[in-house]
Amino acid sequence: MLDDLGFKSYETRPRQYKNLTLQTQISKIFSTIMKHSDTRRIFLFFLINLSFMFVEFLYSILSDSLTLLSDSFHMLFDCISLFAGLFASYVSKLPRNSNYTYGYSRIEPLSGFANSIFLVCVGLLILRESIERLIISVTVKTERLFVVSIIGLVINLIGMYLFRDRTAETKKSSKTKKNPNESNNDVESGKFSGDNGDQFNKRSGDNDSTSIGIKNYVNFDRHMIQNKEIEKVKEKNKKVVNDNLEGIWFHVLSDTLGSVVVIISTIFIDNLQWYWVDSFCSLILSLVIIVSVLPLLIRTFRLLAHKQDPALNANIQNTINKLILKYHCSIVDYKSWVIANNEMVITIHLSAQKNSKKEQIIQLIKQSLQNEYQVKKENITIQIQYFDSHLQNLSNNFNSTTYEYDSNVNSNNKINNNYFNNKNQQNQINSLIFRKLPQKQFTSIGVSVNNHLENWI
Amino acid sequence: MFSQKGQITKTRFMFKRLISDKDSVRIFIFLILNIIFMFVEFLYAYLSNSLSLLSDAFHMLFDCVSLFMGLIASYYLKFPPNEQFTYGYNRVEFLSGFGNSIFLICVSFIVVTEAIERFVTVHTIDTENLLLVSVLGLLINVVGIFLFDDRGNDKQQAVPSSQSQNQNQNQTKFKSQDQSQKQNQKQDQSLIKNHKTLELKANLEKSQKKPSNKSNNVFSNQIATKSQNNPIVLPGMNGTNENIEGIWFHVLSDALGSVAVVISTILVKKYGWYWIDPLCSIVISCFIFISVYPLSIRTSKVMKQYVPPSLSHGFNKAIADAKNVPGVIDISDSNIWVLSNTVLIGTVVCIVDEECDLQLTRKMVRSTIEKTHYFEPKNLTVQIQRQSKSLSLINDLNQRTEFGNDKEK
Repeated sequence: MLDDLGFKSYETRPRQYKNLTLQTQISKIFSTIMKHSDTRRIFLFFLINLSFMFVEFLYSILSDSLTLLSDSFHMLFDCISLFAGLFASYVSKLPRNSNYTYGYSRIEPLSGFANSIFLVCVGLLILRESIERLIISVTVKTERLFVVSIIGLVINLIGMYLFRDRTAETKKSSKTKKNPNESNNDVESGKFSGDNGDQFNKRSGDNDSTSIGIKNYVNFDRHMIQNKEIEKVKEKNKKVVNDNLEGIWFHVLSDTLGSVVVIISTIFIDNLQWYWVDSFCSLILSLVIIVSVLPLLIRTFRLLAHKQDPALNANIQNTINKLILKYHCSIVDYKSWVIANNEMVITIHLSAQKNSKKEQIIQLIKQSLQNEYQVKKENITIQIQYFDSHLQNLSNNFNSTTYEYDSNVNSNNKINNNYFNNKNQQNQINSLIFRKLPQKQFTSIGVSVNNHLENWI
Repeated sequence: MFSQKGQITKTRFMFKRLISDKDSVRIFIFLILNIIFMFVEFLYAYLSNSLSLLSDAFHMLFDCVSLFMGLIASYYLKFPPNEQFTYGYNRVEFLSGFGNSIFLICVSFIVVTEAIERFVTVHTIDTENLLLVSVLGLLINVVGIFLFDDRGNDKQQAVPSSQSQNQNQNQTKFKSQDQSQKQNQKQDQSLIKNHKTLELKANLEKSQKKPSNKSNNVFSNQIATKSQNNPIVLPGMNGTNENIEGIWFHVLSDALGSVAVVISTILVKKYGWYWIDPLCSIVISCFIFISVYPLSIRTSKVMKQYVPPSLSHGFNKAIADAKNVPGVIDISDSNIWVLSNTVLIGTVVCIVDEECDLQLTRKMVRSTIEKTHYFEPKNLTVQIQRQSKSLSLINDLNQRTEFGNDKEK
């Protein structure tokens, strides 16, 4: 609670436009809204809805009709939900923080989830009213409903046109915190990231490839199972859907269908006086709303609950294991989750042998995952640990087990800022840390001798 | 034949699992009560042809739907991690709480609209039937309030050392919850005033780690070991189960709704004030909205991978300390996020001098970062890379593959 109130001692979250005047703040927000197509469209539709809501409200007061008043309140709720959608899409563009280290992009599926629950609620409500009217027949008044419903239909058709394209924006992978080591590889691997189809055609024409070895290795598998890979490539090149816009789309769709139902029922009531049409159509409408919204609900639920495709996870683990076999490594722990828009984050714990080349392993894994599964390198972290029996004596100084996860946090936390109790131990360990590694200048014999020496230490 | 047997065993297994867990048993019982009452109400409304009873029955349908959602969430919560859910099912709890809160917000809006309509047009109310039914509903919901009053509060709050040392001396096991909560509030204020998070946490190291009891009264005495039985709640996060919080708010709103109905029917009978009904419903829907809003905000923050400022502050300090570890040049990337109220997850990428031993530096960096005390060792991954001056490593790779050298394996 106290954190929510924003005590400044822990305020590491930079308020976006804190020190500027209100005018400049508003102008900056407005400019960002106008820049991106999502926010632009939602803002437009929000303004349209707002204006018609006011018009309808005034007209209802002037003409003293309850139906217009209730319709204006429905438009009010639409406006509120649109405002929430606008808020979500604006916030998703904000940069990273120390409190939100992966950015705000997850607010979009969250708002899609909220919208879907809201629509389920609305559907149940309409269901309730329709069943009530079927059981206990109520006469419906049709004064001036026709004009209002046509206006509503037109507005919602405009909305359907605006939101016909609900794909997510493709972000260019530019992080605020840059990793200088990986930027070199990014420059070179930038050629591979988007050209999955060309990997089949390109052979040894690439000179500067960090992954010639990987490519040959990978293409060998690909030649075996070519058709499946082509399907996979096609799946990857599909566009990703923005869940926020989907939620708004379903909202707009339900409104259009509602106004269509009202028009049909007024026609029938005026001409044929079949009063049951209204309740029957609204029953169908409620079922349609609920059934159409369920996929969105399930999809966003799975994303927010960190559910993944087990086949994908198994494939990724298989590829990693194939690459690692050479170096006698194995995966100890594999965890992954998805930030919005199919952006995966993977954390891996590997166990390796002492003399294996860890940078190679890390780079191999990252490149292969980027090429095949389009996982960004910045989202993969790999921890390599190994079973070192010869360091057990020293490990007692750290008071930790050597294998697995440096468990017993008790013992680790006895390491204070000095890290060591005795200076002798400190010197020993410093010498160990800064010992020299075998360099290329040594001959093969020299390398082997050095390795033996390492075993003794 | 065999398929039927399999289904029977499956249902038995599920049933046993439901009953074994405290939370899911409560929800299950309450759900059954609600379903029975709902069917009774539907029958009664159909027989007596009253609109208001029908609407009340549909209201109970909404309740049953949300209770079912909560039941599913509580059933899946205790499952171990999977291929599909690599971090476990912790988030389902938050999602159900969020869903319940949004459900309630929607219901409050809808009730407000209907009430405004009722101001204008007067509906005749069948006072006799409605009074009986609403009183029964109130009783059921009051039972529910007391069932879920605990709100899944079986976790322990982390406490700084000064208080814990005093309590270790006194060994008072039966402190009341109010005192401990007040102490926690004072601790929060002291934390914020003094800016001394790391010192307090260093003091935490000194305090002994005894196995803690499961009873809720042993609150701030001891710090629990990091086992599944007694997880520590992270500072800045809520200590209660979000699933049950959502259900509790739902039950509360129902109770208040039936209270409003009772009051309005009595007043309508006596004085004929038809405007009391919509007024009560508006007031109560406002109250529900205000009470449910914090839950929605809290759960939505966790969905967005939020880290409370105290933890992020501590983490940043720990990383600044980790940069002082001998051998580390820079920590290029660090991410931290909260999985649930008790679990923190972080990743760190370290760049290290060429002449360093990777394992030792990794261990030291891990130990400095685990000083924040809320990391289980599994949940922290530290990637260590040697600084590449030029593209030397990449050229090495190229050379090896071109000429087929497999020397340096």
